[in-house]
Amino acid sequence: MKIVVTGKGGAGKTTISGALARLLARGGHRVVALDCDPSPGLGISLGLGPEATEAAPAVLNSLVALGHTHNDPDPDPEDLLTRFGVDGPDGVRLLVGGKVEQLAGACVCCGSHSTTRKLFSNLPHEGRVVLADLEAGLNDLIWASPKADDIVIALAEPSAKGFEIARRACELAETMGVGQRIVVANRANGADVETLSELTGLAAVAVPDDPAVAQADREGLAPIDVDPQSPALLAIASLAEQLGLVPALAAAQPERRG
Amino acid sequence: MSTRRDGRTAGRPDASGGGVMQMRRTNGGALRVGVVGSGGVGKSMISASLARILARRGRSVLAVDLDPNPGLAYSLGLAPNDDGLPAESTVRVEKGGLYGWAPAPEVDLTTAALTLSRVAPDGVRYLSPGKIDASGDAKGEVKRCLGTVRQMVDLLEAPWDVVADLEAGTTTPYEGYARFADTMVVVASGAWRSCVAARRLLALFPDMPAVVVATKSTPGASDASRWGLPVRHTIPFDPDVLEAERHGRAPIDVCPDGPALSAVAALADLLLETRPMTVSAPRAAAHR
Ligand SMILES: Nc1ncnc2c1ncn2[C@@H]1O[C@H](COP(=O)(O)OP(=O)(O)OP(=O)(O)O)[C@@H](O)[C@H]1O
Ligand SMILES: Nc1ncnc2c1ncn2[C@@H]1O[C@H](COP(=O)(O)OP(=O)(O)OP(=O)(O)O)[C@@H](O)[C@H]1O
Ligand SMILES: [Mg+2]
Ligand SMILES: [Mg+2]
Repeated sequence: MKIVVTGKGGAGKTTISGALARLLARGGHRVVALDCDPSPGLGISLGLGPEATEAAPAVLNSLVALGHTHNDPDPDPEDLLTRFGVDGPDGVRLLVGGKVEQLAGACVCCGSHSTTRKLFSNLPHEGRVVLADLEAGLNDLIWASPKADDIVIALAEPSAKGFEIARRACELAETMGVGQRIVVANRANGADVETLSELTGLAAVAVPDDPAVAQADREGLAPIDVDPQSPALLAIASLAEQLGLVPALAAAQPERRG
Repeated sequence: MSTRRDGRTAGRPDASGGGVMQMRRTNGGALRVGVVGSGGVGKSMISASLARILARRGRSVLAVDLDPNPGLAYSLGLAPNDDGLPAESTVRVEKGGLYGWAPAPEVDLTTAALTLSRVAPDGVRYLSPGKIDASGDAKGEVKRCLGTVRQMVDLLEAPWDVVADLEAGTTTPYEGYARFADTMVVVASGAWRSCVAARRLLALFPDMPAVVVATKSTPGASDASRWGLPVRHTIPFDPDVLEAERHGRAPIDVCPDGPALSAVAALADLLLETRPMTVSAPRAAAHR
């Protein structure tokens, strides 16, 4: 199973990806979380903390440091996962694509557009959930090119532009033939959910604005480790159920796998 | 290195108002600002509000949209559309097996900002690279227009205050999209991720003056300085801004005197006070 999370900048992609990954792992899945943002930060929402998040090796930078160029054949994604993946809480394995650090650094330009973006397509997903937290905007969704049996989750923050980007993402996913498209109104009120549902023709899932989530992010903590019963977390748990990947109620309970 | 041909290094800004022609004669001290930061921190809100505040002070302002995702037009109060640049205004250039796009030779760079832009409220000119639509043709149209807009802003000779709103994150700044600027506005909320992104952005431009802006701050809550950012300016959280954007209205039309917009006005003061008055050689020579 592969899931891509997309949407406007700041829509909550990383927050929701992190929480979803943890909940799916608690529901008994082997989860690989791909951080596709060249300014990586998914580790925070997975609960690795600031130091381990910053220390997580990025595939592309690591390869370039080893002399890999874009003319070399694509490395085996399973091998990359073994070499550069980092284990986080609940057994979620984090793989960071690439990191932009300094102008004189690695050749991230060609790399982030080929090596790392191919990871999503190439990483085998039998017996595991591969969840990709994309860079802001529609471009990365095009690059990730999800297929018919993948799931696309399009998030919107409550703004007209956020709604519009989510609408385009859903339409793009449909054009790509993606079967399961889910649209989420994050930090939303009832009217936002209606607006987004109307715009996309899909029943939008609501995740409420939750001070506990914002607070966790200011502290560099995963919301799920701060308060797994907070309103936003409960809504993300029901999203996990809706995906058909976790039995009802199991998702919100810690330490109960299987 | 010499001064720009347009005389940007000469004299004080023209704050007397008036039209483009007037501004073109006395263009000293025009702003060239790139607004960068991680997703959703408020780059477009700040860019748009800054542009309109500068225009209300009588300056000629070009709001440049460097993000192929819908955003800046909403915050400006301009009906959003997907229009990029007409085909005849751009030309494909090949270089070492690669290709890019540039303004066509016929394009007069002193007037391009006028002829290829749309008029937004307060007379702000809005230059757009077009938008990625549901067809997903990001590599075609948008690449052509974005490539040209970048170059155009790089080469622009007219005395415009340029405020450019970049795409979220580090990718396009890394790719040089902010090269035109002489000051970077680096925006971060209090969240760890946005602060780390800001730090990465500052590292990308070690030699460019940068103003670090902490946004959406609330009393009592820690902000970007907590994660080691040298915060220069703060823009408070204002629920009226959220409400305006929710309904697709420009914040400056809804809460012009609220705390957030007042803070953007103060940012305009800060940028005008600290703007560099000497810049490098005119780059337009390369265009000819
Ligand atoms: N439901 C929520 N309630 C309160 N705050 C939230 C909620 N969801 C997200 N946030 C906050 O919004 C900000 C942006 O969230 P996040 O980093 O997950 O967005 P993103 O879409 O991944 O951003 P980017 O485009 O930079 O990758 C964070 O500070 C986060 O704490
Ligand atoms: N000072 C503020 N107070 C309250 N809400 C704000 C403030 N500034 C911005 N916002 C809210 O944050 C949302 C994101 O702002 P904006 O679109 O300007 O961010 P951005 O950095 O341009 O995002 P993107 O990365 O997607 O381009 C807006 O929809 C608005 O609701
Ligand atoms: Mg993110
Ligand atoms: Mg924006």
